[in-house]
Amino acid sequence: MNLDGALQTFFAEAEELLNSMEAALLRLDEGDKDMETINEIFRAAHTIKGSAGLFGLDDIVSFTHIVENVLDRARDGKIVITSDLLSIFLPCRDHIATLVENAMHNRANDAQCLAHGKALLDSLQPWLETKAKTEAARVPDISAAPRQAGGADTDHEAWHISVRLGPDLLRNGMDPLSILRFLRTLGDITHIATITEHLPAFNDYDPERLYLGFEITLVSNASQQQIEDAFMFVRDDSDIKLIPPRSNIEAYVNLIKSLPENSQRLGEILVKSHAISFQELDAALATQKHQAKSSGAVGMLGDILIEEQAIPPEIVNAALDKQKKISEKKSSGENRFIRVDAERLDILINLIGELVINRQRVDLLSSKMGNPTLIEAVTSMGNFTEAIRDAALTLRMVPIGDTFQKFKRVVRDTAKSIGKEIELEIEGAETELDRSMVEKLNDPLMHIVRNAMDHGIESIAVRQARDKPDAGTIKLTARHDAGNIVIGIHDDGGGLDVEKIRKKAIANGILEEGLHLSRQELFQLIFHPGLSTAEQVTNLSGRGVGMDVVKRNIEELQGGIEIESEIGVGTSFSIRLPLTLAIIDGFHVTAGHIDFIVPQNTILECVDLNSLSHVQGQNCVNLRGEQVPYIRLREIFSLQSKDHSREKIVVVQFGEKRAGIVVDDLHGEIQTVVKPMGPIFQALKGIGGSSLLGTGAVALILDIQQLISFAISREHLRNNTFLVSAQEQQE
Amino acid sequence: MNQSSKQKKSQAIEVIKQYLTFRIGHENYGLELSQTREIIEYSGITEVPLMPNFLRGVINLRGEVVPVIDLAVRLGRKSIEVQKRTCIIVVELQNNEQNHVLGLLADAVSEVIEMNDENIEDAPSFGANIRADFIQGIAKRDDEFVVLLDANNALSIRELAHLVEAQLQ
Amino acid sequence: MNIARKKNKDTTTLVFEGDLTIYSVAQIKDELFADYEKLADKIALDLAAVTEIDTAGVQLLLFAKKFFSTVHRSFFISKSNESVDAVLTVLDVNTCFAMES
Repeated sequence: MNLDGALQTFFAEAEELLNSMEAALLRLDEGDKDMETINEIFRAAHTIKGSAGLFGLDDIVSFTHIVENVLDRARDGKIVITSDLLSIFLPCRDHIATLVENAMHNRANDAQCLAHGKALLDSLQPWLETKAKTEAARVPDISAAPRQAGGADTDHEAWHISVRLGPDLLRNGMDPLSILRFLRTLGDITHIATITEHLPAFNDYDPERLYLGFEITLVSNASQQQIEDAFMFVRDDSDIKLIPPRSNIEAYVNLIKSLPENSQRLGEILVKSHAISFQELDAALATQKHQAKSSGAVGMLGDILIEEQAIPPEIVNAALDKQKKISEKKSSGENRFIRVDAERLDILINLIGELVINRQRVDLLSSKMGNPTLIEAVTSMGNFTEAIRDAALTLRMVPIGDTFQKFKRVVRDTAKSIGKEIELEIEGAETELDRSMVEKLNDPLMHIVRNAMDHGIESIAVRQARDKPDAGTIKLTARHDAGNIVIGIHDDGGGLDVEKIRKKAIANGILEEGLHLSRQELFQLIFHPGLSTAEQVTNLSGRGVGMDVVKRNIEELQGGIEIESEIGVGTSFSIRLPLTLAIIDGFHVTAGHIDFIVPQNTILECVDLNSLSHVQGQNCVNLRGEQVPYIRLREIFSLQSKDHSREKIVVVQFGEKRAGIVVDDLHGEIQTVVKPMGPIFQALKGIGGSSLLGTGAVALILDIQQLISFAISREHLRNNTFLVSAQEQQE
Repeated sequence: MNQSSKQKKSQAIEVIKQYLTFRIGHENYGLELSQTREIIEYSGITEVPLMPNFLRGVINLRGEVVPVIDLAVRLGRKSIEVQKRTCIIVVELQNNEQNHVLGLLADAVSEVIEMNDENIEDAPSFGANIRADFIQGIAKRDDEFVVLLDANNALSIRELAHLVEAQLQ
Repeated sequence: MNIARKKNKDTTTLVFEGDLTIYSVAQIKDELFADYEKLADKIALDLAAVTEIDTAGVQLLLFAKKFFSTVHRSFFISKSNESVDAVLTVLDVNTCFAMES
């Protein structure tokens, strides 16, 4: 067993547990009274303590132990979790996080850190029993069974554990016996059946392989997490199924069905192991809704076992759903995730990128050769390449919920410190996007949320005067929209004053007087470096730094940001980002002698420019009655071209904008890997990256959003000079 | 002991460095060999629109997209005209702990020479017609002068990016 | 690990001595099944001198039991010791190796 690997697993798990602990604490803070929430916090603390003990991280053990004690008392209803207690628990969680982080970086906990821990524990004292206080003095013996202290086994709880272990377990130096011995420290194994069905024929038998399985009945007051912890180091390649006490009969039926062995034999084992607990099971069932079924529970199981008769599908489904819910809510251990180093994943994605490029090349060669069989083979290989690409990209997709979740704490703490009441609502937490994007999204979101709290949401007095509820609301939303993810940050605060922005911009020399800007363009001015409309500088924001960084960060992610705001009602930011940066579907076009790629997700249609009627004197065409302004790539990029007699217009949409891009020629769809252009080209607007064509040539990927704003700003420049010369003429 | 440390010291002064020399127009230039990665034939350069003259475009270097600099323009000479012997010298520079790969257009690559530090003269403060900070030193070889370039200054990524920005405004 | 074979009327007694664990199961398997045709109809196991047994050891015995039943031999434990009994009890397989009446 590679202990180092196990230690890494511990750190990763501790981080997750601390996150869920924080989330649960914040739920309590919001008034959640669910016992399961307290349980969740307790389990997190308990698991961290237990695992830390395994690795001899005594500082974590001794600190967490006290926290756990208080949580345990809350769980037993001996104390009530008040907001006072919560405001100690949150820093306690942070302290555990610090300790874990120190351990991870192999740093000793310095005196200041330990003193901070001591102070936190001292403040927990009022909630500790006198008896527990003395216990607090010593490091608890974590090698002892984490069996519930103080509880005589009055309330017997029979768990059923179905264990199928990985075949290489023995070879790796693990012995299932040690797991069984550990389970015995949690309670009594009242029944165990060793499953020998998988022992193979003589010639196939490898004595060092494990073929045995176990069906175990464990009478214990331990939590599901505690029982699952027994399998902590084997669960990756094992199949462990846990049926909690007093589960429906259907859960057992399901278990039988899900296991590979002969149902009759399994059934016999279950009947035997649960002979004692059937009354209990009956009683439990009787109180539940399935009364009609419950009366015949014993017989029903027997019937199924003997006849292998199917039970009504709705019951199976209901049972399945229930199981699912239980496992989703309670266990992270039972899910079938494996941890993969992010770097390895990136290597895979890069390789697939190369594969995609090479596929393009093979495509090109095969169509040149014109052999139909070859073309067919290459096409089918292409389909698989596409499927592999899509599958690989989903590996990097993560739900945005975790990112949003972090803001709960930020909003809570900040609101307190600035004396406002602010609620955070989250919508669309399950929306997924590329992991690399999530990381880069954190800072911009933080800036916007902080701005909203600081300048957006009004003070309580102002809100009352405006007939608004005392508590302001900030809402984070996420949704998918045509290959993009749209993230919204809405507040119901004071809104942005367009006139104020305009005046300030003029005063700061950012905007020339008399220049007409659209509402959206005026809003966009808040992203200008050096412009901050807040009259008062606070420690959160208001120094004019930040918003320009926000815009830059978003643009670096090939995205755009739009603002909608109404005075007195609130402000909404909407950030639109591509789902992934690594590989895109594009449309290959040429202008001048340069190859360009238009991202497929922006394209509405392609039309012959000559077939459309032009709006007099403007770069604008009439497309089925709608006026669509266009940009001629050749013009905007000052390109020379020999033949542009058959120009095409690619109609694109980005956000609310619709525009045409006029090119010399169209070459068709292409899958392409985005290659960054490097820092030299940073200032170049309208080109988001580069990419390799099947021929090996480099093509430039258009950034439609930037290209359109670039064109508009050039247009303004021209209008501007026009305005100036007009003024001169008047004088 | 004393003597050996002295010996070491004098050896340290007599550092022999290798330089890759090449021609731009009729002039000879050299770059530290350790900063160069390879020399490739001139082919298939993709022009990037709106760029200043010194930036000729980008090439595909085995899957990597690499900008190509016209060194002649950068040194204040006439832009290089592509001919048979025109080639691209690929250099790798360290900047802010990041590696930057650039292609340099040259009329022809000459040879690799070994130079003792003692044989390298400081850049003249005037008369070279090239910005002084671009020059590491001047070496004499077969009655010809070789201008040894300070690649970090002559090809400063920051400066190049600023020049691009200035061009676009 | 050594296995001594003692034949007595219709019973062959296999006397195990040493560790019966993952480290020795491969060797024991070869020894146990070598010339098994020569074994009597009843095969008795004397495990009194087994110093350590683990899941791999128990699995080997379970496998042997299963195999010998297919060749119509009975396979049971005639002598044991505390540590072996304890392990067999934990896995609840002692009844598998009871002598058939």
